[in-house]
Amino acid sequence: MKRKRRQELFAFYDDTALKSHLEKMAKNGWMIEKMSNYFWTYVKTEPRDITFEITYHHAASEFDPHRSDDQETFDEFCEHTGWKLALSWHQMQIYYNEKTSPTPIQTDPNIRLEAMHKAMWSNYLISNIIILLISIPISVMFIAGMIRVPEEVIKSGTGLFVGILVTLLAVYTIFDLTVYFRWRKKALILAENGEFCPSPNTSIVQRCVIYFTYLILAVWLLNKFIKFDMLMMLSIFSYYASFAVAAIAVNKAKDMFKHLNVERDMNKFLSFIVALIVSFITVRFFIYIILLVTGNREMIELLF
Amino acid sequence: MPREKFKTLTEQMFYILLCLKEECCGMDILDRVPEMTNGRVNVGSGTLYNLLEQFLAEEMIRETKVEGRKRSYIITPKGSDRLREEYDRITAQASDYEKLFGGK
Repeated sequence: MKRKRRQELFAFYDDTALKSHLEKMAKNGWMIEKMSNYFWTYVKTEPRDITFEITYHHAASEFDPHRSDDQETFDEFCEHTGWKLALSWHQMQIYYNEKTSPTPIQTDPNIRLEAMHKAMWSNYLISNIIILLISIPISVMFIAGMIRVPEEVIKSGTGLFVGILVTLLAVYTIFDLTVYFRWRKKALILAENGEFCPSPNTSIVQRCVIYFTYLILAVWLLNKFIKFDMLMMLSIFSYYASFAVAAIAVNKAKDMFKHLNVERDMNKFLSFIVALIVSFITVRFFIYIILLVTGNREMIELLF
Repeated sequence: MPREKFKTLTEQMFYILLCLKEECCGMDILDRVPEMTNGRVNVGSGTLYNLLEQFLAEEMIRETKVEGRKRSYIITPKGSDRLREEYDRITAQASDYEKLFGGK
C-alpha cells in the first residue's frame, strides 16, 4: 500500500480545521493512518467522501498498551451509529463515518468543550506551562541584556540567537494559550444557546513562527561558518543531533514497551530512564568527536 | 458544574432520562430517542457516554446490571423528580403560549 508522510501544523484544540483537513485528504484518496509530533502518515485509498470527527478522552495516553475498558465502551457506542476509530493520539480520538449526514458523536456543545478542556489539562496545558516557566526567565534576561548592553549580546553570537529563539518560544506559547482561553470563553457563551463554535485556526501564525525559526538557525549557522568557527558549528550540530537521536530512541523504546503490554506508568518510567541513558551516551559521544576533530588531545585524555 | 447544568435539562438530557424510566442499556438509548421523537432528537454517542457518567455522578440514574462491557441503567427517584420539574416548566411555558396565541 502506498504511503505518504507530511508535516502538519494543527493546534491540539483545533478540531474544526483538523476535521476539514482529514476529510479533504480522504476525498483526494489519502486516509490518515498515524500521527506523531514529527509527521503524519497517510495511506493511499480510493477517494472517499467520509465524515471525520475529533473527540477528546482525558484519560487516554500515548503510553497505554491497549485501549482501556472506558475507551472500548465509548468505541462501541460510536460504532453503533456508524463511527469507526481511525486512530488515537494522546488524548485525541479520531473517528470516521461512511454514512451520509451521520449523527455527530458530540451533539451537545457544552460536553464537547468540557471533554476538550479536561484533555487539555491532562497534557497540553501542563507542558505549555512548563515551557513558560523555563523560557520566561531566559527571555527576560535576554531582553534586559539587549536593553542594557546590546553590543555585548550581539557580539556574543550564540547568546543573541538563543535569546531570540527562546523569547520567540515564550511569546508564541503565551499567544497560543491566550487564543485557546479566549476562544473557550466565547464558545461557552454560544454553548449556552446550544450552538457550536468552530475552533480557532492559528496555522498562519504557526507557519510564520516555524519559518522564522529556520531563518534564525540558518543565520546562526552561516554566522559560525563565516567565522570559520568549526567548534561552534560542530557543537550546534551535535546538540541538535543528540536531541534527534534521543527522541528517536525514546519513541522506539516507548513503542516497544507498548508492544510488550507494559502498563502506562511503568512505560513512562522506563522510557524516561531510556531517555536519560541515551542522552548521556550521545552527549559524551559527540563531545568526544568534537574534541577529536579539533585536535584537543589533552581534554580527551582528561575526560575519557 | 453538573449542578448548574442540570438546573434545566436540554432535550437530549430529557429524552435520555425518559428512556431510563425502564431499565435500558446505553446502546438502546441511541436507538430509542430518535424513535420516540420521530427523528427530531438525536443523541450523539459521545454525548450519551458523557451524560450517563454525569447522571450517575449526580445519582439521577443508577446501574442495574453489568454484562461484560454492556451496562444497563434505570432512573432514580432524584432523576424522576428532575424530569417532573422539567415537565412542569415545559407545560407552564406551553400554557403561557396558549393564553396569548390560543391552543392548537
